[in-house]
Amino acid sequence: MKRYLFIFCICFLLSPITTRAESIVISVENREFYPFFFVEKGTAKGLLLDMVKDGLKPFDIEPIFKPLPLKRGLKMVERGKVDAIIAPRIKNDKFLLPDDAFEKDISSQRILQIDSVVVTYKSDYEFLGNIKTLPTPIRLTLGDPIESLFKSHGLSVDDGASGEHNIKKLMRDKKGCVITTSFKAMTWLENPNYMSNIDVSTEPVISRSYFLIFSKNSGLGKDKITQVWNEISKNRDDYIYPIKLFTAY
Amino acid sequence: MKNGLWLVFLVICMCTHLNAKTLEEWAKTFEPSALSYEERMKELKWFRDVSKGLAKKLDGKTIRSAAEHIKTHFYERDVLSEAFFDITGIRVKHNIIGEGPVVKEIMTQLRTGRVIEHIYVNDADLIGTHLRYQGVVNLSEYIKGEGKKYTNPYLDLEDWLNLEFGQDYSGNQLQLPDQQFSNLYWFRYDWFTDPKNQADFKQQFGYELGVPINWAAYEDIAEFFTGRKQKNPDGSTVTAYGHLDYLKPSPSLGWRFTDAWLSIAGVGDKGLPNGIPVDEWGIRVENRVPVGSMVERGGAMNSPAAVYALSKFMEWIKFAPPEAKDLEWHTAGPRAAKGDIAQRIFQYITWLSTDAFHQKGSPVVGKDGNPVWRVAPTPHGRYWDKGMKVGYQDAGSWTIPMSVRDSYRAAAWLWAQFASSKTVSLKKFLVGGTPVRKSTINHPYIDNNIKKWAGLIEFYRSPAEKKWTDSGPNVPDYALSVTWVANLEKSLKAFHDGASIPELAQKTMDQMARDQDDMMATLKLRKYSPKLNPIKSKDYWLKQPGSPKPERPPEKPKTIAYDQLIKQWQ
Repeated sequence: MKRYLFIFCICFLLSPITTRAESIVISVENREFYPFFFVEKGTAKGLLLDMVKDGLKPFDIEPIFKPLPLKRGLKMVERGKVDAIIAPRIKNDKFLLPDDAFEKDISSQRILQIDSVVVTYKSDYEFLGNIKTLPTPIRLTLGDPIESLFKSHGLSVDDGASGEHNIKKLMRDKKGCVITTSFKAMTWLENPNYMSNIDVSTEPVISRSYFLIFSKNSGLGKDKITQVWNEISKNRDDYIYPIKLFTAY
Repeated sequence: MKNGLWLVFLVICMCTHLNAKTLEEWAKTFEPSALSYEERMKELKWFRDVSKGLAKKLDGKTIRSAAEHIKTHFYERDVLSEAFFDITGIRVKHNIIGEGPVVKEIMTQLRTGRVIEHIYVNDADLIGTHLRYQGVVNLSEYIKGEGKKYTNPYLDLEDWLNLEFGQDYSGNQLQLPDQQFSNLYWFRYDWFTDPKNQADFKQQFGYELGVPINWAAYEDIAEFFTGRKQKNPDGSTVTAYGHLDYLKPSPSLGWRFTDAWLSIAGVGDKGLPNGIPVDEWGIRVENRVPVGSMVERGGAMNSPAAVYALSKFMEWIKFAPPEAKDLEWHTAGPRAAKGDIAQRIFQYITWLSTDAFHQKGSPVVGKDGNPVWRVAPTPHGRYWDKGMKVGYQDAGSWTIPMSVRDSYRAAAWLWAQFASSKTVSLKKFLVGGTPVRKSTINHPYIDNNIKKWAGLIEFYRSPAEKKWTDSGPNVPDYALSVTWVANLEKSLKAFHDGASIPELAQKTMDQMARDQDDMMATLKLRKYSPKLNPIKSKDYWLKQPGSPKPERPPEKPKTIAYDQLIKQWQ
């Protein structure tokens, strides 16, 4: 009798595990990129994460977000230590990206399109698309993959720990520029400490599709991965979903 | 080979140049106009001169604007943007997209800062959002400061119709109207004045057939005409429908209700332009702060009046053509021109400029070339009280997001002013039928052709026009409208599956009010952010004066002869 009871107890304890949703580990940058991704009290949050989570929901897949520096996150994906990463397009044989990721600047299977803009100290300068005209040093948040673009033009880059560090440096030095998201730049324009001393370009310095890039070693399989990308796109292109989502930020 | 390519390039450049019209040619193109030829030349020269430095700075860049797919905006895209480029050297890409995508794009741009467009023609229904979110350029300040140099000295804001639609609580202009569209009652004047129809109606219902003043009369008239054989001026005989509506799941299903349907039923409080403290969305506002939609919080979204509004919408479907379930606002818009609709309670005038409503040989155009249809005031529901807004109208309005700055902002502002300038406005109205200036509707050209608009000009010239208003500043975030769309889609599905109407309507409005309050509770806006009232019993609120209003018995149907009514507008 005791044996049966023991077996029953084991089965009972195990049963929730067998019906629990599948979970996958997704790396996300640990730098502040509000509202798209950021870490609050040790937890990764943001619009991109919400969209990924909702895209996985119909497949009963629970994401576990792991905030890491971008380079480390990419290595983890390469080695199959995590299933996926949220990042702009990156060429790597071990990564799975949507088919049009390298064909179009705005991929149909992106999570979101994110622009980075130029913040300068108040002057007559207006960025109108020519990167070579950017005032230097160009201040970026540490680990921003955009760095290589400026370096390829021979422009001096200064990495700061956060956007706040960068804007303070710009205010102190009164020269150079800060590259940040248009959202962040708008918040600085409303900050009484900065508003009368800065300018923000309308023209983005770069516009990137952000993807849910999978590791080829992920157990999800290409078909399921494509379905997840499609689900994210469907939500993004919906009328109700994004409007409702954006109100939370 | 290289030489050949250069030759082709030169020929293209020359052709482009040859196609460009001169200032004089454009001044002649915009005839008739509220301005004389000389005045037009003066205004166009100002646009040319002020843009010189800007066009050079923007060198080859394009200003992107977005607007919904109506004739007015197609004219802006096809004619006005070309004129603007010829005159100023600034290229504009006026993207014509659906109204749903316009709302979605501007909301995305406001929330993410990403510059999708440099300027939008965005309905002033969003004024409550803009004044609270502070994400768009305050045009009043811009005109006085940075944008002074780029502000047309001939702009004449006093000449605008309903400029207040785009203003915040303090009268700052956040949006500049580009095209006005009212929503009026539409009916077949020829059928309503037919002696046989009049006699039969009186015999059946005991009162005169005329323009319905309330929903009870509208319903009787709908019943009377549905299935009745009627003749059209083109000689065709049709089996008529007494009503027209649209039910297709889409963003426009939300506007069918957010565009004041609840207040037309009588949901809100007295007060113009919007009910205070309860407005046309059933939201109670105290000191500019929204405090609730549910009756239990002092709102009226699930009040007896709101349930009645949805119930009647569903009940009347039986009087509409079966295809109504597949129609959206833009496909339903010109539908009445087919000649089998007797009346429509909710007709956006936007669509009345469609050729089908005016072309000779159309079933709704008389042998004299004038329409046999008319527009009249919106009939109101049984909860409506004198002193409330009567109906809905709004203005697609030029709106520049804050993220658009410097040269782009100046160029976008110039484009907005050009597209609504006195030089072009009358011509634009003749194409699209959506006026924006008083000088347009009061022009002698309009006097000479007034029959063509079948009551619309009388409406815009009348002081009564002020009783038709848009969603007011009390709506804290237009994003709330998505809860309407989602719930109405679900509700109509249940309706098609045979659910009982009063219960379904109550359930839907209860859920909608709850969802709207839940969403309001999460909003963090820069000004006047919602702060919800605590829950109290429904009875408590229904016993207070004003809205939410307790159940009312059915009203007595009332009609008025159109010719008598139109005199009130004249």
